Amino acid sequence: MIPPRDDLQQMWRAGSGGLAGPTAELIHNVQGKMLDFDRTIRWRDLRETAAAVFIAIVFSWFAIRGGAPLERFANIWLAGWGVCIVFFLRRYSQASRKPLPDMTLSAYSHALQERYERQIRLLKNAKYWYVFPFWVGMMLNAVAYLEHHGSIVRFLILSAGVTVFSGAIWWLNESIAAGYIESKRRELLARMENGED
Amino acid sequence: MRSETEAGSEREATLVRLIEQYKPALWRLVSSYEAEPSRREDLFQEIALGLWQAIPRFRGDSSERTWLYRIAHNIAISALDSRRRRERQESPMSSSADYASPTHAADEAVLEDEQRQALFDAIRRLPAVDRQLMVLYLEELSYEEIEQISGLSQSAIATRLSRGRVRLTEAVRGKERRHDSAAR
Repeated sequence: MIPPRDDLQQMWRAGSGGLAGPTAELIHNVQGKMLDFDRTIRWRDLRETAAAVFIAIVFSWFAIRGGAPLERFANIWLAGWGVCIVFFLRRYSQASRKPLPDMTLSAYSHALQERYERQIRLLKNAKYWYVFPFWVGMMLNAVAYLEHHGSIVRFLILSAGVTVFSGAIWWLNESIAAGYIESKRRELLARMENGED
Repeated sequence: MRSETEAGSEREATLVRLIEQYKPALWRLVSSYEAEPSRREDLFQEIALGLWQAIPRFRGDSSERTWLYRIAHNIAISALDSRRRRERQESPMSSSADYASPTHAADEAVLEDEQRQALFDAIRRLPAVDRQLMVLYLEELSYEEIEQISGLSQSAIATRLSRGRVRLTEAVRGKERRHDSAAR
């Protein structure tokens, strides 16, 4: 049985002032947004693939062009790393996608939090799938350079540069980016349970 | 087999029907999340977009009404979360009181308007879960329907609604008291 309307319900029902514009206009805007959404997804996919293809082509070209076996191996390694990055970036973009809103409200808020957690895990694991393979490839190149040119000073400068750069990427992912997403996750949790404003 | 054009037209017709049928309810829902009119419009569009995307997935496992409220609330929560993230670096927005009606007018219509405003402001200040439940209650959905939408048990719903009703009633009465003392 439906209980009689209370005062709050009556007051609420009267609160439709400033209603959204005509439906036809709304549908038109929605279709426009839909096209923008599709274009954004296509452009992102294209950009990621193009970046990886570029990296793979450049290092493959270095490998084909010649050099010592170690240098070739390092360049093939880096070309392979470029291809792997595409795989992981695609995984990252999937992890970043919002959950489907058809689920119950509690399942959806869990899914939103899990989405943050997936992003955090992926960023914390960047040292394995992003930083370390890059560092290995570049260090192999540095060793090949040392073998070929015999300049220990240049080798040390190159190694230090690659290591500092890799360390910075690691730190950015693990501390800054993951920390930022973690704070967002906590904020969402607080808003769900404690309210805000 | 139906052509893609036919499916597209059917989908559009469904969206138009849903919007027409639930427009006032969706607008009230949007108003429980956003105080500023332009943001309400944006959120309304976000919800319509979400419905457009979700229409092909609707299999009739639940009623259309509960399905629609699930989508609308979930999109609203998510959109609010995204907006707050974007605004974090910017200066704080003006409070919802900026959109309230004048406080010193004495006639009854103004008081009703102020009370309604106080009700919406109080709903916006509720924790997200309580706000969702309160909106569903105010839209006069049954406990069974609220359970289907929220995924919470009926006893949990009752507890949260009872707490929410007290907060909202206090907010509305507080506005009434302030109005009375201002009139004197």
